[in-house]
Amino acid sequence: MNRFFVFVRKEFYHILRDRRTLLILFGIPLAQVLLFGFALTNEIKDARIAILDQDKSVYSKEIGNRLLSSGYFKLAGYLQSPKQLEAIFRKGQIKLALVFPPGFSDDWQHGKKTQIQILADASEQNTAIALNGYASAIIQDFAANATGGSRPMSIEIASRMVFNPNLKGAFVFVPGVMAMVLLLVSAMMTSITLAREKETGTMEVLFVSPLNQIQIILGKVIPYLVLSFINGCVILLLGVFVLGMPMAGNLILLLAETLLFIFLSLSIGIFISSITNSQVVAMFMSLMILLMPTIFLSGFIFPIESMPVFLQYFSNIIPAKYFINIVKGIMIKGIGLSYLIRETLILLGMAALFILLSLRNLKTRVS
Amino acid sequence: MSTVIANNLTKKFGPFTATDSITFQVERGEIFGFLGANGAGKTTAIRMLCGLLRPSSGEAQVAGYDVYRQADKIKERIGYMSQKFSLYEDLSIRENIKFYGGIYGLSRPVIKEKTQHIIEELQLENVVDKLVGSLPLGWKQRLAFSVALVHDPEVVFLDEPTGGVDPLTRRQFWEMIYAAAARGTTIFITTHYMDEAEYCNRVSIMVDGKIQALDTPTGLKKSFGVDSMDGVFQILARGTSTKG
Amino acid sequence: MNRIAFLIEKEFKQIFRNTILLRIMIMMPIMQLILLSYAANFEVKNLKMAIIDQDRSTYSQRLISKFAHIHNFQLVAYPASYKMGEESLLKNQVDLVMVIPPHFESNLYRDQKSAVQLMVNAIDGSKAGIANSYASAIINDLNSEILVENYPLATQNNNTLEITNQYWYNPRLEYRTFMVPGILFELLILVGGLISALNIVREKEIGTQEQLNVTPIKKYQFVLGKLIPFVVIGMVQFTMGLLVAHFIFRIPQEGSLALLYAFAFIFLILSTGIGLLISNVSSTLQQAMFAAFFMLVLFILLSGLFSSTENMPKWAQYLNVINPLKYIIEAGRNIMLKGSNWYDLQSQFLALALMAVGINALAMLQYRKTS
Repeated sequence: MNRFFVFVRKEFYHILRDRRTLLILFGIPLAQVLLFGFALTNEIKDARIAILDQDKSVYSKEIGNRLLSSGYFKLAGYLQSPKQLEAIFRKGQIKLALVFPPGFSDDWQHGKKTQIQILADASEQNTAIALNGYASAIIQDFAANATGGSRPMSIEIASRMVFNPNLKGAFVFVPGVMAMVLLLVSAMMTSITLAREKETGTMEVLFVSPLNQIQIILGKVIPYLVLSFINGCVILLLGVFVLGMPMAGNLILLLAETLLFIFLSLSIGIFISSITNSQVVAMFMSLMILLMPTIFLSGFIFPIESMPVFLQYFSNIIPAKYFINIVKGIMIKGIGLSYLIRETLILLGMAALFILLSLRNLKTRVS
Repeated sequence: MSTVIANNLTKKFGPFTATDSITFQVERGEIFGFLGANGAGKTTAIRMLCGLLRPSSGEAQVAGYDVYRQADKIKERIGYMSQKFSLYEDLSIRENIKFYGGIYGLSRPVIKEKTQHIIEELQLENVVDKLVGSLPLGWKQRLAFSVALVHDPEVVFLDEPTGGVDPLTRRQFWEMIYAAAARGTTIFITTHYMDEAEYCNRVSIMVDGKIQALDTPTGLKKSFGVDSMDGVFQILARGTSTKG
Repeated sequence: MNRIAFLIEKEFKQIFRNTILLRIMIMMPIMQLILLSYAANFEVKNLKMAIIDQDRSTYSQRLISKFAHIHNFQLVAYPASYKMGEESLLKNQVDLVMVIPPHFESNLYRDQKSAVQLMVNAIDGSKAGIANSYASAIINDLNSEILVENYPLATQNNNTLEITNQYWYNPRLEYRTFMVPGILFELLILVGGLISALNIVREKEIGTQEQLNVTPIKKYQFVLGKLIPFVVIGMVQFTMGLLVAHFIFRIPQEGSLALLYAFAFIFLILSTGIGLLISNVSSTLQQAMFAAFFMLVLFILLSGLFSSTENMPKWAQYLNVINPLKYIIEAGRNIMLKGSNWYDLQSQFLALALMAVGINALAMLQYRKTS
């Protein structure tokens, strides 16, 4: 046992000495939290809009003013002719163009059908839809008020935004960042470190030593477990105190589930290292097969239900998906273990699977 | 003129002095051994002479050029073989020779000629197109040495080139070194094997960054009153704090 | 010059001989491209919905039927009570719950107004916002229908103002069209920057780098000897990615292919330069990997791939000025989707070219044959 602890301590020294990597390891979550929290927002405001007013009446000017004072739009300029539209869109200078046909206000006042055109740059779809929606609503509002009267038989809609009444976009990703960083440290670093030992041949030297195989691997992996856990806690703290993420549920449960996920990630890292001897291959496998799918298919960034069906099935084998649900559930909804049994069991099962696979690979390798 | 000259050559890494004011001269065609325990400063010294490391102070000249200001000219005239051999494991023997020949600016006909020469000398006809990674250690070693000589350098620096091979292979390697020296190439070799010291023309022994002795092997044995280089080293190492 | 040729020859030999790595380098980014492009969709659809109908009237049935026919919503549950509706939100079984209160229909006739309640899982704020507006639009739609049916004359005046919408460049409103050019370039910098960094650091680790430092090879020769092979490989990857984009995802190519390639070329020089910089400051593969990863994460997040750059706070926008991904994604999207030409994109090209030259020059100056 004593030998084991000496070994673990040596591994800690290795890691702590590599200042640069440590810096980056703690820098990544910090940068991500800051970015996601403060820079990346789907909020729409000050979208650049051009107005082609071929009517130049009181009404067209009024509509234009309402749009510009709503906060959603910012005037890029007034166009003089339809020919300018294509060029200005192609240069990417505006998101939306508003076109009033000549004779607009005359026709409208006389009860004839008139048309206002809203042209949107739909290369960015959701923004285009949202902007379109806002512009249409403002115009409709103006039209309704101009004609006067309240509507009979109106259905009022009472919307309640559950779990996140202020629609704060900033903290939905904290679980995703956690999952990503934990995977990075636990799975990737572990697999690279173990692969490195194999590459340089020091693994065999260790195998010949009095420590048995399991102890060696455990010894290598424990520092990463500690590192991951600390990192995970840092992210949680950042999320709660800097971004205002709630902590509605049980902290102990949250930490326990975090440990479970770390454990799972470690076993995946060990598994990857058991199937390759090359550091570079281990790196690429961790990156391409583990990290990238996790970032993109776990529901962290893109909603799973919007993906094609085959990818939705695929997302079921991504551990991070379940972990993210667990964290969201505990922190934002405040639910307890009874609601999260399914996810927890799945994570446990996956961990067991990878451990078994790794053991099998290691046994055949040495014999 | 001596091919390698060092004058109070010193290298400090922060508070730690790896090489402390070493001074020596090596003549053309000499086999000069740089002995010492691990950590004594041998590798630091050789890397300064090769232009891989910038000295903290002192002077050095290799092949008539100054290591501070004319490092590039030095590099055209020296060969180097490190502990790691530094051949490309995923290239074949032929390809390695061709690569290094080209890097040193040899023309293609000359490279062809050299390749032929090396293959014959090392008897590699059967494996010339096999990847270097598949060769046994001893073959790699001798090949690395030959490649270091491909451009006919004036000086060849060998940093612990015989680590990890059996005595027979070492013997064969030293025969190649003799042959090169006989042709006029200066050999500068570091080693921690004391028996290899016997093979050198002159030997310097480094302890804790300083040169504690410099003479022919015979001369050293006489001065210290022992009959092996190992004995010489024991005496020198005893009175100092060694880093093992 | 000749010496550079030797360097390049050796590089290619090594790359092609290492079949595992070659396969990984070429195939994996392509697989990522395919996978990501299928996944990359911010469209809000297939929302799971629960409806609690406490009225069971003709109008409530009509409302439910409207939702059943829209692809944005999937009706999965009909909870018996309000409490059970909340439970289903807690359990993550549904994304929103609509409650139609008792007397919904009769209230419309008697009081001229009625209410419907929506409970939306708002953990994802923007998704919730869009879900809410979709649902509201559908309810308003029913409202208009009811109005017309009951008061046919009074509604005529309200319809004289028509708003027509045109969605340019992406008339089918497919998110993919927007994302694929971005993903393509993101993968280029990932693979280009990372692979070149790993390659050089690997040589450092096994000692062949040192061997090169002892030779008379000049710094610029060394840099070019690495740059050229990796840029070539990058161009191959780019071509493959482009083929995937066209044939599998039907991304249009409105603009000049030559211009697109010119951008890709300069971008690859930049990426490899970044790889060189990283390798200069890393002594182990692990360090290189993390340095590359860190930088890439920053670049990718800021680049406008996932969210619009205009909405970012000022400090983020300043940071973005030195983000190569931002420029190349703009250029790529504009060329492929809008057919923008050289004159439209001059500033982007200039920015990229400046960065490419700067980064490579820095890498070269920083590289030390003598430490």
